[in-house]
Amino acid sequence: MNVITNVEEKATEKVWEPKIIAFLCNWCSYAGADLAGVSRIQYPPTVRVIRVMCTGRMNPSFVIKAFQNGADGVLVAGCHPGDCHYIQGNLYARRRYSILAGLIEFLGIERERFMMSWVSASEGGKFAKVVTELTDRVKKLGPQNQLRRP
Amino acid sequence: MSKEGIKSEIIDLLKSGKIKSFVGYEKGTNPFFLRPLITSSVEEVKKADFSVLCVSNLVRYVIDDFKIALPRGKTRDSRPIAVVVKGCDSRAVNVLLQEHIIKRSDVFLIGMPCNGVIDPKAAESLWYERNKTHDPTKIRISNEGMFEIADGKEEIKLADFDEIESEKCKVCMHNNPVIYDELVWDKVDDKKVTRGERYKKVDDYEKLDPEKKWLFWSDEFSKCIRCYGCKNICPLCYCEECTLAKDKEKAVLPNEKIWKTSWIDKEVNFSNNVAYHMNRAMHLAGRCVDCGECERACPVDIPLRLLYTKVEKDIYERYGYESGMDSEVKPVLATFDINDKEEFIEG
Ligand code: SF4
Ligand code: SF4
Ligand code: FES
Repeated sequence: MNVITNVEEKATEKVWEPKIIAFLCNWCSYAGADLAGVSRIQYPPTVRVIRVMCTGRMNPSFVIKAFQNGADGVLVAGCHPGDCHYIQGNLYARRRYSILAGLIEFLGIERERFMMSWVSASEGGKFAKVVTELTDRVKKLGPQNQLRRP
Repeated sequence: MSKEGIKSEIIDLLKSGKIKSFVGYEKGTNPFFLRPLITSSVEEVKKADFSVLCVSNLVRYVIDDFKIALPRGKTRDSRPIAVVVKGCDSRAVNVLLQEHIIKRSDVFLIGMPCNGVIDPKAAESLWYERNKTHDPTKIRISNEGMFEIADGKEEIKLADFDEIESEKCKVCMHNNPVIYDELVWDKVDDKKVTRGERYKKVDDYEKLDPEKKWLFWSDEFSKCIRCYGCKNICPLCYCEECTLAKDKEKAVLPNEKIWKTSWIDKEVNFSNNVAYHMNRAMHLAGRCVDCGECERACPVDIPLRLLYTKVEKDIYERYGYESGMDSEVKPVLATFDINDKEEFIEG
């Protein structure tokens, strides 16, 4: 009996770890994340990667939906301007997300939870750095409850 | 041209079959508001009126016309619709042209230069407060103000025009239609509103700290009942099926979940409300012409214009673009510049 309650207590005591959804473009950032793994660079296991073909394919509603479904932070990463596999996808995305970022800030949603970055296929280290930074920021803020669905 | 001149021109056009219908304004039962008049009969056109009570944006009816389901074998009458447009409405037409939703030949634009229309709600409440006769037929509203016709010819001033002018008109920068075929009366002088004045309210809200902002907006968004009035009245929400108001689809394949979820759920709860409004603001980024119809339609008075003006401001400041000014240029989010600012991108 005692043992069981102890175990249960242990389970509920579990420290909160942020959930970060990372939308990575197939051709650069996903490969970058892969490289980070292959070269055994340490980065927090908080991140759940969703591969999209290009940041240009990213609808801003993906970010909003991620927050609704309980993400504590959202990362959007793609190729550097000029390097996009589809030539201009990330340039459209840049315009789109500049507006979304302003909107998030205007509504008073914690802006630090959303991050956009350019990570190329050779930048494994940068990917690790970006994820670490976002994790730190989100840890400071605690769980995201503003947009979470009941 | 004059009011009568334009009416007889419309009548001529209708008689000769050059236009298929006329969308304008006529007097209804509400003295603070001219209701939309949609007609193809010559007699009805004679009832048309043009004044500071022309509040609604009629461009909505042009796109609604495209949605009418036709009986099999019938094709759409492709003659133009004559529609009355103010400055803001004409910019909505430009956006529709820009996005190839309508062709220029689908509309005959009757431009109505305006120095501001009234806010029917504000005018009505002031009238209740200040009137003496309690007779809503004895009222005259013009761009000098609101008057009560007491006895015979005598008039009592109830309110200045400033007091009853709608908020959007106070900060309007394009008083004259930017695209038109015919004008109801001569062009008016622009009000010379500066960008600073226009975005003052947004600036004030931007200065609040995040907690205050969130408190304000979460209060507002929790009021939303998702009647979709705002999207139904918007001249630029023309999609046949709105992705923000989509029913969940029943799954077809056996390995799918029973209901496919949509990107924005239809259930009314706080989280979905915020998502709805964020998405709507994104969908109108670089398109909203600030005609203020959404805010007027909203039954719970959510300050939607504030939200969309913020987006408008960002777009103006970042990309120097203003919606609906030119039907030839590409929409701002459908194009890019390799040197766009990217201070928000980290790492
Ligand atoms: S969002 Fe509102 S103000 Fe903007 S165009 Fe649509 S109805 Fe007009
Ligand atoms: S009109 Fe108002 S209440 Fe209705 S959906 Fe729009 S914001 Fe919500
Ligand atoms: S393919 Fe990487 S951003 Fe377009």
